[in-house]
Amino acid sequence: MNTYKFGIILLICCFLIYTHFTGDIYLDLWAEEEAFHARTFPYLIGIAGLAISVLLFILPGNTEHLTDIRQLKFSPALLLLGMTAGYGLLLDYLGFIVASFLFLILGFIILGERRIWRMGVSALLLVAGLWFLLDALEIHLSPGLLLQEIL
Amino acid sequence: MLDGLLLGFQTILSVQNLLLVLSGCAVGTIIGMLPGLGPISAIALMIPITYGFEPASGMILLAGVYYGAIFGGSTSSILINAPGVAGTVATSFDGYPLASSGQPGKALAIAAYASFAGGTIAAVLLVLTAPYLAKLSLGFQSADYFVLMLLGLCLVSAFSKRGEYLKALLMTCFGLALSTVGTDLTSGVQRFTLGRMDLIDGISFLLLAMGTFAMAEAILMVLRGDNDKFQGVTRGSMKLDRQEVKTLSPVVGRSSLLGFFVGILPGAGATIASFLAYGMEKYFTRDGPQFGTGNIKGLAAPETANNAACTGSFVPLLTLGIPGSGTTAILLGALIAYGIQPSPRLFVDQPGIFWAVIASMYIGNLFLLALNLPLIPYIARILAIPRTMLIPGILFFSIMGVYLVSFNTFDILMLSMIAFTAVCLRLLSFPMAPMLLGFILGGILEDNLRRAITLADGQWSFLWDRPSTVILIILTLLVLISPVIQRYISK
Repeated sequence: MNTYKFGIILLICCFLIYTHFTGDIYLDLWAEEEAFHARTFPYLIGIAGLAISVLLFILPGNTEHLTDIRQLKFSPALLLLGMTAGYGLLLDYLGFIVASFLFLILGFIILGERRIWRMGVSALLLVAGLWFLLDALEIHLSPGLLLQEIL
Repeated sequence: MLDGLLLGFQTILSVQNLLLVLSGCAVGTIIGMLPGLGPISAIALMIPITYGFEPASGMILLAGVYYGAIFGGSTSSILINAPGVAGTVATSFDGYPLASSGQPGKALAIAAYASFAGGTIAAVLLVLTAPYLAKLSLGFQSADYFVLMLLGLCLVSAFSKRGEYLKALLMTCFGLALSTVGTDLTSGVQRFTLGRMDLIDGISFLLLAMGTFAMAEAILMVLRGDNDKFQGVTRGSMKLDRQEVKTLSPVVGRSSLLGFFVGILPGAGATIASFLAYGMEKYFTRDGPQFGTGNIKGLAAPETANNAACTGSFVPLLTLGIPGSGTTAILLGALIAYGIQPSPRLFVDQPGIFWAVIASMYIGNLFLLALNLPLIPYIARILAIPRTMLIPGILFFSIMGVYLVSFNTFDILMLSMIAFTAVCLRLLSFPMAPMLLGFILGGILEDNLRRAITLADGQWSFLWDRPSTVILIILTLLVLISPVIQRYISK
């Protein structure tokens, strides 16, 4: 089975799960008698999505113009995505300035930048610039739990 | 109409609003020039900044960003054959050969003048037609709206690339499904929140837009190993002689009309308008065979049409409350975020916003011309920033754009999940614009369906009760089966 068909099977699964969970939406006793309630629209979408994804699976798809995944550079892309998630997890703890500075520096390094001064100055200017801009707009970002503990 | 236009100019001719148009055009031009970042990403990045403004000022800024980004896309198309936006792909067919033949200044000047003419002619057409369309649409009821939105969603899918029709329809369903996450405002029931407080208000459209466009685009650049560095560009001569102006005038007129009317159609947009204009000039003019070798008509036609289409796409947005493209879908989301419900009543209830946006188009086109003619060589230097520095910057601004709205780190985790999903889907050639459109229209679609069914005593007969609904249903069905008919005819 090729990647394309595998992707469509995943989408079929998504719509199956979605339609299944539609049945779990809570309804009041009287709501069940109504012609349109909180489950109606999701049911319609779920069924339409299932029908179309099954059609896509059955019909021969044109896969010639799809990107050859063997030529893709997965490691830096996945590292950047992981770093984004990590930024979300550590932002409250490290605070805006430290987390953002580290995020940018690591991003530059992952993509192959090696000039330390250039990386440091760019990251610092970007983070400090945004910090001061937000501060001027009366938007105060948390310094982070770590800094609060140290101080 | 004249009163409205005067009201619009009165709103826009304040120092603050003029500065907003100017900054919108400048920011849009810069972001539009970056390959991979188009008007959708540009507007999505600017929305958080506009939250502090009056709705009219916010919309003026975003409209400036929109046509600035379309114009900026032409710059990288012409200079380095790297269209920043899909709508400027056709511009590169003759623009790049003209620039590489030693006339980059002329190519940029033609693009600037053509964009200005296209945008201005379309703004005049918008003033003339929009109020009539708005009055016509005032007779619409919930059932008509429901079917009209279905038509819009189907049109976006039908106009997708060849072979991607079913994929676009599936993405529309995906977007509609995502729109049901959160609390159902009518019944107060929570749907698909997985018991998480963070999902009670649903998924933010900004989060989805950033994840599927700006962030996914940056990750795709890394995946494809697209680490080219661009060199600086020189301006050269920017003058057009009288003969060239005479040759281009009818092309600009024809392409403006075509672009505007294609732009009005939900789902068509700047890309189709520019290709149609290029095709029309290529097949119906004498020097058609010279197209593709740096012909000035081949450059002016798509460039005029894409700007005219941008203005045209505001017609369904401002008069019917229906976005005609992914970009106007984001603008619709912005309007909703300002607390304004776009509908045919917008023209009557919020004339200040309606006319200010239209007036901003005239001023914006003037500013674009004034900005871009002298500044293009300097602005283009941003293309020289190495991707190793640019991509983390784009990711950082995407994250900040989302975080600064909610101050909830869960949204950053959601952003990375959405970006990952979007990258996978885009690698499988699934279009993202229909998903965003489905997501934005989902809530309004459900509201109108609920209202129509309730008014029809729980019957689905509302679908054939009124002639206008029946006409719209027939149109929707025709659009739905049009790709099948097209395929049958081409065989």
